Amino acid sequence: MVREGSAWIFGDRVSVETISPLKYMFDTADRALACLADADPRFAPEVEAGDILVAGELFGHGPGHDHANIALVETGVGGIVAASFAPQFFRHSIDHGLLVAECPEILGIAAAGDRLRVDFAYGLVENLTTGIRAEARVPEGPAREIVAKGGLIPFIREEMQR
Amino acid sequence: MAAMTISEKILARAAGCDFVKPGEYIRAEADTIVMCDLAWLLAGPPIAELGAKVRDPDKVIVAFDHKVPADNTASAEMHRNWRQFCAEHGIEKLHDVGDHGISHVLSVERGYARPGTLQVSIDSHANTCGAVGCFAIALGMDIISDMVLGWNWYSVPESIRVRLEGEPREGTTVRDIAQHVITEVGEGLGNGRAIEFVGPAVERMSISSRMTLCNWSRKIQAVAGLVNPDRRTIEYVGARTDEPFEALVSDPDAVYVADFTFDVSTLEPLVAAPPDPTNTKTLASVSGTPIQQAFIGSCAGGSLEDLRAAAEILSGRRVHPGVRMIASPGSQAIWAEAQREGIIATLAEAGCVVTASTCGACIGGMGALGDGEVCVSTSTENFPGRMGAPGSLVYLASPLTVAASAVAGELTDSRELS
Repeated sequence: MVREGSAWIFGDRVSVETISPLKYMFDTADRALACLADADPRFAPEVEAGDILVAGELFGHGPGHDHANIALVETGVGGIVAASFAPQFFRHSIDHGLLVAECPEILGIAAAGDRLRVDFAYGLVENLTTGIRAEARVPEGPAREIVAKGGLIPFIREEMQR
Repeated sequence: MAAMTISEKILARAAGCDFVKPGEYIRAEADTIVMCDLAWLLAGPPIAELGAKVRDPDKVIVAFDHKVPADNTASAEMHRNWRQFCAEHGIEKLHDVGDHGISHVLSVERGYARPGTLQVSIDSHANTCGAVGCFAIALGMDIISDMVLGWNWYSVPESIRVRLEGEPREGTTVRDIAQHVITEVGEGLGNGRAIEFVGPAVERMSISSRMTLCNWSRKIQAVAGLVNPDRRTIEYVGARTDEPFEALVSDPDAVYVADFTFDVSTLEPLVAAPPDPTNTKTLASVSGTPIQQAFIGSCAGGSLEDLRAAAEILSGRRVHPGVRMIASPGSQAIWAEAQREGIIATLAEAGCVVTASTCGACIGGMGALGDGEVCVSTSTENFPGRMGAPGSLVYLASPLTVAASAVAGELTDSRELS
């Protein structure tokens, strides 16, 4: 669960509604391209597999609509490192196979376009451009098992066969 | 045995262990699983795809609330799918149209939320049910883990203790208190934690007011809001269920990450101005702002007490000609009681439209706003577009303020109404 790519920087308090407005709960066709369009219109069209979304405090706050997490998965982003997450958004990310790590100092150590390598299993962030490293909090215990299986559905499928 | 908070005790019980501590990841079995109509796509198709059966159908409650009665074909089919699903999986607690209510309201009203229990809910404002000493948490798609496997994972939250003292002033309600609390605690501290409400002002509150207080903890991203069960709780819940429950309460020496004390007798009416429920302002600072709609409803503002407060203001008065006023009782049972008390007639005679009990205008359903329109509302969210056009504005306030503003045609303090 190591992802390596360019950093896309977002600030504090990016809401679920900013990530994916409510209408995309049902209108799924344009959802990926509209993801975070109000915050950075270049993000969805240009993000590449493995790129890292970097954000400040309370990423994903607001109503607990998990189509926002699905929208992010659909963009192909490698994972998210935020200073902190809203709790429901954090859960939904685990469920939908979206890799997440919480690193309080991330905005101080990553700039737009920096090359980042993030180990989402062990919680290590490396800025390959600057050489700076930092630890991050990642899901533990049963949540870690769900992440390892790639999301909730594959996890449940395997549990059902036990 | 080390001391624990009510949240830690409930999670320990549900995890089958003697002790849990904040930060620990646990597996726990929920006592009740609450679903709402709108969540069909999150649960129905994935469970069908897994070829799974609901493990314990007695734990599952399905409440129709967002789309009652069905407003279009898609809603009708969503309801039909739920009916088929419940029949197929043996779920008897389906609260269909006519026996329905906003899931959080219905959960308390029917005794599904019980002291000492763990309740998982698909809808965001699950915190409401902490009013009866239940650890109620909003999940997402992973609620199907509870339905299919019978357990889920939790990271045990740290707790914040908020002590409320004093008698609320005239012109304020629990909404103003709740708004003050979230402003002072803040989302930096509230995020991911459980908020426990204690003190004489909480002890004097009805279960309904406690529900509003706990509901509002969600506004600063708290995973739960709780009131330790007391005699009032035990009588209230005992009258609504035959299921046994254990009234777990926090140990006196339990550990809190922060402690706050507020004197509610000093509070003035407050509003949450757009674009965020945490954008607190005094009503006085925005009073006189013209409005086109006023809404009484939602899981934080559609109780019998809220309707009563609105009716007290509207009795003998008329809604301003430039304002549409809408009231949506929080459940069918509240609707019926409001009818018996004459509240529905008072509201209707004043020019307020009383709808079926539903989430309604809170989510931009029946009673949507046009571009540039301003609404004052007892509902739960005010991000751009929540109640209609992206360019509409929503001020969140107490039922007294909403009703007074409906009469005046502008944001108005109920104490200043002539």
